[in-house]
Amino acid sequence: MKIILDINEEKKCFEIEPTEKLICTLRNHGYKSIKFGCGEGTCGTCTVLVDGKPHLSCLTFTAQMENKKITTLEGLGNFDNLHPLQQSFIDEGAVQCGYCTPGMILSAKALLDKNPSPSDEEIKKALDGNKCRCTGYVSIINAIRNVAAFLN
Amino acid sequence: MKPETKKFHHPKTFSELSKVLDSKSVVLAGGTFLSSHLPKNISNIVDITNLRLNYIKKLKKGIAIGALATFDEVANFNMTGCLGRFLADTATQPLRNMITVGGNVMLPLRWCDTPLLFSVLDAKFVLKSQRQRTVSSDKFFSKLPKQLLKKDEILKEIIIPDLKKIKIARKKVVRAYDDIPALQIAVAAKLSRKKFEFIRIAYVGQKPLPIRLKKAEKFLLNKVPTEELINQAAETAAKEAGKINDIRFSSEYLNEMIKVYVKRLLKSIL
Repeated sequence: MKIILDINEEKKCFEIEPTEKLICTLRNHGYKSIKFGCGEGTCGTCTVLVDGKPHLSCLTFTAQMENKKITTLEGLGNFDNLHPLQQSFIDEGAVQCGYCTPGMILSAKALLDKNPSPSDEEIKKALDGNKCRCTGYVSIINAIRNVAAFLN
Repeated sequence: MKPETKKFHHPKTFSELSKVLDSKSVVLAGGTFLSSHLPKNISNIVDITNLRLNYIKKLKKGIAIGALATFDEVANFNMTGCLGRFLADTATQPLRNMITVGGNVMLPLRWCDTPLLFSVLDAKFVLKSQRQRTVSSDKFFSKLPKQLLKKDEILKEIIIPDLKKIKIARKKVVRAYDDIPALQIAVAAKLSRKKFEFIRIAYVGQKPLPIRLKKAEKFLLNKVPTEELINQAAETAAKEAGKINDIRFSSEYLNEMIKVYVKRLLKSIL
């Protein structure tokens, strides 16, 4: 079946299987920031923003996504023009293996768009769906707190 | 054998919905369960998102929650009180953005949060096809929702009472935060002139449907809550619950947990 998806403010037409998952469609078409983790909605590495809210692309049928705005990490920034969250993650050393980072940054973006001055508890709550098995979260929370302070 | 090709439907009206719903169809709401547990013998996936059931609205006597309202939307609606707070603590943020109240009720699985909460809130369930009917929570949870629904019927909305007047408390008996609960227990009460004017006690054990402990409720109704009364109600509740099976815990232990938590939950809302 054919579907038009709005990805990073760009409309594209895709030929998909009816039961195809969003993570497969996106990765197969070059959006490699999205990572396949547990495949059952536990780890958050496949997080994308759908209409500005974090969604798990491993639990989403692509066919459900017509008329929704999908944002991936590719839509936030690039090597020449990093998003403040990407820069802050680098500055704080909030990345080790990097597998969880795209999901973390997108969840953080959704939080800061809704609440520009989050408390540490609110940051932790917003990231409760994104697991990191390297950093222990301290530097990740610092990175997000720094961006909030910078934006304010 | 090559699996049947599945078709995706996006009905925009209930009349379109009735044309595509049949025995080989499955209704898709948030998709968190269905996306990884799609039955093999179905040929149509019916995505009901376009029916616009993602509303929460205030009624004269209560709140109507559309079947497609997500946990996050209910949690952030200013009138959902305790229910909102419970759903805000459920699952993780991305899942709360995806799980719909209707989908959670319609599964139901023993770890689903909403069936027990709606049971103690005496919610009403509006089922709609071309026509509409409303069923009580007792009837809705008397059998699996899929058995209750007619062929072209879906859950449209859930009506809950005004939560300013009702207090709810809930406990999940788990070994770890994200464990499947061995027990979920909830109580809801409304006091009038210091007496229980409304009282509901229910639990979910091994079976996914909530079970009300009506003898214990009857014991408390229209009485002034005292320490002794609550202790006796907790004893009654445990006896009424009887044997509860779970591979991880003994029935005696779970039965004792019902007694302990009915007592604690009742005290917590007084």
